[in-house]
Amino acid sequence: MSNREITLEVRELTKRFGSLVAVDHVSFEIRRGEFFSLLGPSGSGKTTILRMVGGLLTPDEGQVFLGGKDITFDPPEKRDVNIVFQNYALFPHLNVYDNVAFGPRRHRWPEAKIREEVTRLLEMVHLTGYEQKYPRQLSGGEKQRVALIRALITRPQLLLLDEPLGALDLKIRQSLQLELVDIQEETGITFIYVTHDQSEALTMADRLAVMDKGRVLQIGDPKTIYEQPQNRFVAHFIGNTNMLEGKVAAVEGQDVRVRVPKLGEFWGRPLDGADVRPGQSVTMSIRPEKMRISRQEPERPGYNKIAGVVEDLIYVGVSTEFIVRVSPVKTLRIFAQNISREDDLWQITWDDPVWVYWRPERSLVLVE
Amino acid sequence: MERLRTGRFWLGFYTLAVMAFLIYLPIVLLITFSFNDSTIMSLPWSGFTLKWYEKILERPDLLESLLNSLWVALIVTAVSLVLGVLAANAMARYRYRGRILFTGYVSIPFVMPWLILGISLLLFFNWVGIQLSMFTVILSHISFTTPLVAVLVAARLHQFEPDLDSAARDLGCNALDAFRLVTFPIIAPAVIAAGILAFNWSFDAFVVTHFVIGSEVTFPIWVWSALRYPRNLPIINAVSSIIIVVEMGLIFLAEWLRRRGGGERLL
Ligand SMILES: Nc1ncnc2c1ncn2[C@@H]1O[C@H](COP(=O)(O)OP(=O)(O)OP(=O)(O)O)[C@@H](O)[C@H]1O
Ligand SMILES: [Mg+2]
Repeated sequence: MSNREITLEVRELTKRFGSLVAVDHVSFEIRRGEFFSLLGPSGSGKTTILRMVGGLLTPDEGQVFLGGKDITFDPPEKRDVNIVFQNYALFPHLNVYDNVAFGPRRHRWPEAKIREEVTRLLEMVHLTGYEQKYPRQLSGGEKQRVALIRALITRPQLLLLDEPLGALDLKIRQSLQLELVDIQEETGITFIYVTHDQSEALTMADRLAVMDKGRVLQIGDPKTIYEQPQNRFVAHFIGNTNMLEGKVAAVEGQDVRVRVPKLGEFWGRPLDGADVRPGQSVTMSIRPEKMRISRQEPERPGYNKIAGVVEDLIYVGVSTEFIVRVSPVKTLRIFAQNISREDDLWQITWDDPVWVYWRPERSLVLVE
Repeated sequence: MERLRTGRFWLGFYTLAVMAFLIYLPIVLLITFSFNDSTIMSLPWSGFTLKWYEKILERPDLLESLLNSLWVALIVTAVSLVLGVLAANAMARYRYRGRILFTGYVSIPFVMPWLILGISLLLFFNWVGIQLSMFTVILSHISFTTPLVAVLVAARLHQFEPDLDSAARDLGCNALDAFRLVTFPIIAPAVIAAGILAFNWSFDAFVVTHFVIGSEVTFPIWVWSALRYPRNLPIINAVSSIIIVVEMGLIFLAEWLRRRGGGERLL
């Protein structure tokens, strides 16, 4: 994938609304055919980036390149980029057929070709027979699919999808997620998929950018983002995690000993290349599934361990989630697979005194 | 509970009946007496006649005032439609800037007494040094019909997602095509309705016109001066009857267009 050509490059893109910096020097590159996701909480600037890429907003600083060409100041109709809007934006006075045919007609396709393509795409999204219906007669999921093929039909180099499934309920979301990934693979069009749902981004995207307050905090594939978050925000926003805050007591080779007030000292490992010094304030992030739980004190040299009391446990079939209180102000969350042979996991219940333990390299030491 | 509901029904019924009486009875009387063969508007009925309608044609001053009002209203309607649609469109798109200013301007004709509006326009024309004429009448009418158009069209635009124009641009329209193919078809019913109302407002305007008119005469001004002579009354009745019928027709047409376009009720 690494030597495929770049479809979109965004360089130092910045947009201000009054004193608010909605997008703050954002840069990234997207490769041809990639499913790229922009992930961030509400108000982090995702839509604003899409609008600048689509030409609906002019950036205050920075540039946008499409297929190597600078399009920063091209009007939207001159860009080979289409948007699926957050609220669909179907034309209410046109039926489904005319909505989908809108782009091709602007591009002066012959009517016979338009008919053929519209019919084919409606079939692809299971809406055959909906040609004469008006947007107000469609359900949310149906509107979403019409909006998608309306943007797709002219085969733009790049398709921008702004939380296209945001307004739908879980069931439809999940089936449309699969449908979208299929469509993307089938058409080979490069997708930028905006969402504030981390699980959606993790499951669908080839790569994603995590955003907060107008800045891109980390770009990478889902696995890297999940296993090696660069900072506290990313660790916290993606998946679940336990955070322990403390000061570096010692550095020994790759490993770092962190003193966490009132809880003790734990070993952890910073990201490659991170500069960690004794006395520095750091946060340890440990994913719930990387911790283990037991009633006996573990006899494992080198493991981090901490004693606590089971405050809550939630049985979810394949796994059990434990909430363990380790101090008056701190609880830890642990996911345990329900197959443990080595342990008496089954017998653990409310108010039991337990030990929580984990390998040092499972606790990621974050500087920011 | 049942008692309460019937009670409410009768309350509503009486209210409507009283309102209908207050509004429609005078109109019915006016139209009826326009066919009465007498200069006095009272019973007994003196016989059916169309002569008051014929007399309209014999009054060049009346005809001229009608003609004046007509072309003034046409120009006012055309100009205020263009300005009002532009204003509504701009406000729907740039939602963050100038909101309050716009809201203030747009509510002028609904909250400001006509008298105050007339006086301030007169002072303004004096201050700028514009001679009072039909031109000042037209300017004055435009000043209150434009907000009317803007309000009606903006209400229509707000029923739809703000991104429609962006979507049209995104799919390959330049700014003009996006307006022609998307925005305009959506607001068209409201635009037509607004045009009819603007026409009526201008045609009817008396108070404001009275302040800013020069030596010429519009229809409401003619009526006002003609009323000083009782013998004119039946002619006024006749011409008013025609206008009432035409205006009611226009209003119903406007309302029908609005509803057909899925708009909120106007009346
Ligand atoms: N036209 C505008 N004028 C002023 N501020 C704006 C404008 N558009 C967006 N903003 C502000 O810029 C910030 C980023 O907005 P943006 O719509 O890009 O967020 P988002 O990440 O898409 O959020 P969401 O997930 O809620 O859609 C927000 O604080 C928003 O209030
Ligand atoms: Mg958004």
